Amino acid sequence: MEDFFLAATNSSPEVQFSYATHRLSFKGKSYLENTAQFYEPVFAWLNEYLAQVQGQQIEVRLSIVYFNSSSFKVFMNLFDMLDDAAENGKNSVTVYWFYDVDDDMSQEYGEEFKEDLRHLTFHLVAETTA
Amino acid sequence: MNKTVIPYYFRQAEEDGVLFCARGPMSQEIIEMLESVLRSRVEQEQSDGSKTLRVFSVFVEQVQNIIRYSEERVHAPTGHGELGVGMVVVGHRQDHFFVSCGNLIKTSNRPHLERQLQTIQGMNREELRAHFKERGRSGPLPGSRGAGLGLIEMARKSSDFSFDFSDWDDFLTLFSIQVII
Repeated sequence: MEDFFLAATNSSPEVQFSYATHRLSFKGKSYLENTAQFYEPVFAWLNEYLAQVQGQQIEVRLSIVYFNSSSFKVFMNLFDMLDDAAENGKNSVTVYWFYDVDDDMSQEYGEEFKEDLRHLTFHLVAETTA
Repeated sequence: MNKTVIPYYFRQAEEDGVLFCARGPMSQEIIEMLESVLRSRVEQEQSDGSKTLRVFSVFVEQVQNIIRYSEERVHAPTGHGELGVGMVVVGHRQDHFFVSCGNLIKTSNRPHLERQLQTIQGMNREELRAHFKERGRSGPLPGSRGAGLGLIEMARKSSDFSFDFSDWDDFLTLFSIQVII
């Protein structure tokens, strides 16, 4: 399976998935008007990946400095999929949610994602911007 | 009578504490262009990073609502679909910021929207949080082009908000919302 990469824009994050290392990352902002459309290929890759991966240690890093409400739904779906991939020890999935210490809402949203997840490990990581 | 329209708008804007205002077709490009300008303008007034982010966040949700739901529409110059026409005002008064937007809606859509807003207005922080999540899970309402979360998100990021429906013509109503941060 090929790796997946999308470069960041003003309003969409850099998306980088590596099949060889089982590392997935989202970095930047996410406030597109047509959020669902943007994430379609991202989810297409993920679906294919998660259908075949087994017994792996998957690491997912999200460093999203700002996101709009429709992106919240996208991330919720993403975490649900990853949680399923970790069910019954199928894989070990670790998610890191990075947030700026000054951004109390991002921390709150991270906590909201976390409380619904049963199988994966979800870490909230505070970061200080210079 | 003024020789230009500006003195009238300018004085009124000054009086209302307006930091930024625009009326016309709204697009994603406009939001992106304004991001840094708006954020530094808000920071200049008095602000911590968290408040600046909230103001920008509410601005984004409001303008994206105009793009999606305004009944007044023009063709996008690039030929990609349509843009919604509306108005957005960001201001600073006393100790708070406000972000206000308005656009025309079908009068027939008013009752549904009004009920939705009343429900949100009656909720406390915890209820908003639960409602937001539930809506995130259940998917958009019929007729909603986004995730249907924008209004709840605005309420979550505000200390208070108000809305207004003002008759426009036989079919249209001017819908506006003002969010206090």
